[in-house]
Amino acid sequence: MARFIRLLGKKRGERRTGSPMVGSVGEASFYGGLFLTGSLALAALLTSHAASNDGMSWGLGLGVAVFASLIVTGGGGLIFRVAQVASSQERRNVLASRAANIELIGIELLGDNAAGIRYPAVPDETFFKNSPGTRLLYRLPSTGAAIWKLSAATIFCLIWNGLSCVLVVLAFNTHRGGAPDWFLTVFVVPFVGVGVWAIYYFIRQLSMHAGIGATAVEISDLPLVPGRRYEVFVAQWGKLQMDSLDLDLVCDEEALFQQGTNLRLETKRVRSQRVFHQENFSILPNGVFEAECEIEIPADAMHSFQSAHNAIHWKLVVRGSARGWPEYERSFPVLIHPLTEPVEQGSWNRS
Amino acid sequence: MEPLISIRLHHPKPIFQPGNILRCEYQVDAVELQQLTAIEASVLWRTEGKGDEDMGVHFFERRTPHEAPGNDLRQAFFFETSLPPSPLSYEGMIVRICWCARVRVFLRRGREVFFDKTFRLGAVRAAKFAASPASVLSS
Repeated sequence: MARFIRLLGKKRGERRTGSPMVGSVGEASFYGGLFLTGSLALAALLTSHAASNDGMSWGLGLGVAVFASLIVTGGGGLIFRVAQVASSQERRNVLASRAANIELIGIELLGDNAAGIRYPAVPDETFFKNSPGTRLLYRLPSTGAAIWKLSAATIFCLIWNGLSCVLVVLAFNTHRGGAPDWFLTVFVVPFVGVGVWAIYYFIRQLSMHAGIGATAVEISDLPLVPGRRYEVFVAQWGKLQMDSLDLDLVCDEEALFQQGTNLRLETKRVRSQRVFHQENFSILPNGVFEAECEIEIPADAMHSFQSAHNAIHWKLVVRGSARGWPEYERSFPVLIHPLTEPVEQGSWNRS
Repeated sequence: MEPLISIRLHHPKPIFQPGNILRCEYQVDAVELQQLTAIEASVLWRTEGKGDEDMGVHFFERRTPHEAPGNDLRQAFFFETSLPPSPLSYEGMIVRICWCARVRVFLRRGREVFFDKTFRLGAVRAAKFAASPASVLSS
């Protein structure tokens, strides 16, 4: 028979030992105690200060800040705990959804977006449709990692080489002053070495970004529906001697999870379908390579899905290999809606 | 002794399409009348797999003794709801989406128990491993 109060609890499958009521009361008492301690201490501090007629001081400000933080933490914790009493996860979820759908000054507070009301847990289509195409109806937004790599390389290069310059000047001054600091000098050498590598990496990223040129993908309709066919247009700029250019339709699953104190994101590619492939061709200066092809969304495909910690993303991925450049990959997300009505297999959706 | 929770879906197979009507009957048994403080019935989806669990509640109702005839929550209750177009049930590699009808029983002293009756929504095929087997981990 379970004891009423246990010092240690165990988790047995879905069940935990110990009383949840005692746990709730204990937690609420802790936060209540914190709130009371803060209130009493703050009141005592302010009344004693008023009685002494002293002016404002740093000590008083610090005391007020510390006791006020106790009041906020205790009060907030107590309200949160009380709100959870006798309330299931499902009920809280429903209340949160209702709160999110309250309209304030004509703006709906998030929750499931306008499209999401019709298709819960499916991403909003606005992001995908905000750029018109030149050849087909929509130009897809790019979410390639290249620009992030370039940004990270720029920031790292600036910070590291800024620090290197300071250390080099300090070391140089010790030599010029006739009392060389050999420890600092030796320490600076690998530091500068990393700085030189950072500059090389930054230039490589920059030249890749500027040299390979932009990639654009356009599509005849959005959102996509399983079982239907769509036209796709791909364009590649830059003076390049291409070994190969591929376009794939891929589906990635994403899972965000807490591991210790880290938040980790795992991505798994679960579907990949070659849409277009071309080898050995040149793109002339000021020229552009253009190609049109078609994709068929598999009839049994899962739709795009997005929740707080899990997602299913579909995208068109361009992979290129150009002579003198490392291989590159650029992603263009697409939105797939669930199939709500029967579609004739392979029927066309044209712009 | 925990109460017995039974859930019955009025459908020949636990497979539904978006827009279908889900009819469900549930009953709590093997518990004293005074022990029951509330019953919640919901139709929800939740994720399973590598990521932290997410859930979305499509239908929810809560019953307390004073709302039930004779203040007895042990009788059979019935509800029906039209199923939404998404998210569809999905068996992926690291993400799974499961639909269920859930009945949660609140007992005296803050105890609660629940039971799920799972069903499928839609006809999405389980993810077949098609391309690169590599898993990409980033912090």
